[in-house]
Amino acid sequence: MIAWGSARPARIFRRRRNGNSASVAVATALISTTSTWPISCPPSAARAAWEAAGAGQDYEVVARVTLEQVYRGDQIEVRVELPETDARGLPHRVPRTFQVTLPKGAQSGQRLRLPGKGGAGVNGGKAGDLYVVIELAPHSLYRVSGRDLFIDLPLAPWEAALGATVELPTLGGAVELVVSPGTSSGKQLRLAGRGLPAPDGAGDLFAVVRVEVPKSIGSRERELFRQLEQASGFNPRAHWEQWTRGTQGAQGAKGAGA
Amino acid sequence: MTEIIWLNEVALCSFEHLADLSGLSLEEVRELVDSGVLEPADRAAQPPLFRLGSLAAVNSARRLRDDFELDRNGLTLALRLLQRIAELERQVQTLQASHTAWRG
Repeated sequence: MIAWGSARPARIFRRRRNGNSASVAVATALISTTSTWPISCPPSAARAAWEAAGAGQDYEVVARVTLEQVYRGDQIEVRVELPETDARGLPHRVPRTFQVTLPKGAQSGQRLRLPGKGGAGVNGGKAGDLYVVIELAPHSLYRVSGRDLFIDLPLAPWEAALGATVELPTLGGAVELVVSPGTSSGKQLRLAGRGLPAPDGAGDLFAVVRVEVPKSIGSRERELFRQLEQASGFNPRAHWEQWTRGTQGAQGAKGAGA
Repeated sequence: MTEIIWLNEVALCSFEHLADLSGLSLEEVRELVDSGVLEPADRAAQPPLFRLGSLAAVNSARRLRDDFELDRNGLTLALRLLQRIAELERQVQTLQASHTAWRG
């Protein structure tokens, strides 16, 4: 993981289009963190041909953004330090800032290409490109899988047993979710189209049921749970008993046959 | 206003576009297609079209070729392994996302 805002160096990405073995540090819209170190690499014949064309280098930076920012399609600021040479041919790092509008629903790992915003070309060659790699910051409520979102839906035992109507937070605003009676932990309730937007159809939001039990209960609650225990014929481990009976039965038949 | 192109799985581009932006030759891009590393969006379409998101793969190919001096077989193997890692990472992410975050 990247330690944004710390004194530690950020990720280094580089792409080669010409001969300079340069590297560029990452700066994001959140906090500008820069670091550099030299990287050397022997030139290949393929790279030499590319150098001859005078094209500028491509660079990659990581922009760490929030789920809300990609949901809304916010504008972010991407700051980079690009190596350039001055009139005397001396290399310098020049800070550049780009205003980037996030495409709605951009996913973690996807790239945005900013044509001509990379390294300057040499001898009339075209400038390189800047690639902004989207990295979604972890969210306190939602987990992301592609364009789908997952949220835990904690339920009290009586809500799970009797059913309930719950106000569920979504990125587009709260919605009422009806939980059917007899809903167990792990069940996924799908809200179609409530995930991240996408050009070919929005993702879904899945509410993953988690039945929670109070850590401590009062005497009245304890009494009611005792009554429930006596009144209920529910056995959540009935399948264990079936398996045990089956195994013992098979062993008995084997023993009788021997 | 800065021009921004979203390299997603919906927008399509040509064979030549991938070669032009990556710095690979047309022949090298064709070999990536033949080896199955690069998948056209529609195999039936002529000329074939590719997802813009494929640009990341061809850029990786160029970096592997230049930085590690990989030959074509080495390049294909490295890209297949990278794709496999990416696929497994996606599966792990989906599994992690779909399970409740128990706090105990």
